[in-house]
Amino acid sequence: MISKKRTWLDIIIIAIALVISALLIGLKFLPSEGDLTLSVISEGGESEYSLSENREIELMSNGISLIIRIENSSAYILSSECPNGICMKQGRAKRAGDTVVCAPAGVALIIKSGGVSHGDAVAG
Amino acid sequence: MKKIFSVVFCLLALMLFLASCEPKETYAEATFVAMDTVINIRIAEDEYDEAAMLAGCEKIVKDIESVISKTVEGSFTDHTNDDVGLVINIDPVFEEVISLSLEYSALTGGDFDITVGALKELWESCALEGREPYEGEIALKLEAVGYDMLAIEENSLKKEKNDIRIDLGAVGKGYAAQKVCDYLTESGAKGAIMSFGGNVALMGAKKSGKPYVVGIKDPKNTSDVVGYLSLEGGFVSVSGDYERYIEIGDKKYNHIIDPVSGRPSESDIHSVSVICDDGALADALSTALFVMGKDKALEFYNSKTVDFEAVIITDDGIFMTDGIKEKYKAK
Ligand SMILES: [Zn+2]
Repeated sequence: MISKKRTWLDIIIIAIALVISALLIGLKFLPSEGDLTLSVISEGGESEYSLSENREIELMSNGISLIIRIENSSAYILSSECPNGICMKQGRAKRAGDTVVCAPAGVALIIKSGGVSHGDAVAG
Repeated sequence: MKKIFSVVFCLLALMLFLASCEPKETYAEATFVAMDTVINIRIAEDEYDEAAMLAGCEKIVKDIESVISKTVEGSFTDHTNDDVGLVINIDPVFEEVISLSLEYSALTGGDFDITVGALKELWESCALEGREPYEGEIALKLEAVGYDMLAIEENSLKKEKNDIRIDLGAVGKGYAAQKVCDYLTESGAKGAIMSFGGNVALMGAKKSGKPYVVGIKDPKNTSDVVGYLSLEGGFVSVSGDYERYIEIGDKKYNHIIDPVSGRPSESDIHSVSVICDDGALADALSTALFVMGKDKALEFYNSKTVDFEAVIITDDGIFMTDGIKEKYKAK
């Protein structure tokens, strides 16, 4: 009788152990939809910001001052003192891989995804 | 009972071992803005100075940019776009890019054309005013479009009309990618994966010996891919209707100007990826094929004018050239 009880308990423990190990391996191999972050490349290097918090980022790059706005999980160049200002007409970056570039300032907004990986590189 | 436990632990250990035994591909990485786009370079880590190589790559790109970019004051493109008929003492890099461009224009019957500069600027400045250009404005600028009005003669660039304005945006990134690849090969890098604004360049090999896997962006959902290419190296250059558009009112306009209509290209192609052994050619071809549209692009492929492969995405599906079908895997 006792041994039968133990058997059930063991099966449960084994099942839990298998589920945990499957999850561990799943975490390693399966793509997971991570949080989106905004990466800002400028003369000063790269900085990361959360897309979930609305805010304005002022920055100076290549002698050009810009204001980047994060709003409703998207990011765009609100103002730039660059010569033609075309960067302000590029719309909003909101999905993983979206970019907005101000070439004269050497500034890029890039949306990055935490988890998903699509091979060694993505073309397009 | 103990037996079962041992079996389970062995299984667990085996699974964890399998999960970690793939040779680790580690890369030294640099990301910077140049040539109007975001450039990312990853060099396979090994017993060499990756940081020096990355700095070397960045220098090559920025040197090329300083010569061919229209937004860099004092560049040869800037000089060319002055109201002049002749640009003398041109830089060898500039000369090479122009010569290649003229060659590619002839190859594609003018669907790739660097003389669309004035038209591109017209559309951009009208976008800032929030309007489409008038037909008259487009017609006027079209008079200064035509690659056959440019010629290289003894270190000089001759313009048949003073108001011709060039834009090397559709070839410069690929040219730079080629030069960076050449440099990394000479420097002894074992492998590198590069992205020049979504145009991918691959050199060397992965530590695992497996081919590089390059996802092709889904034009309808740009955070996802439609499929993957397995490649041993080379260049994948993409032109898509989703990238770098300009907005006028609520309408989005493609950044690729059709040199014939003078308007943003309205072909049936959502994206075309060109796979080719030469960076500059891959870049120019992706623009040309985009302007051509699917049927003409496939016809061009079948004419065997030049060696390349392509993956074309339209509303009707994904079309592949014969040589790439086996290397493509749908997601
Ligand atoms: Zn700008």
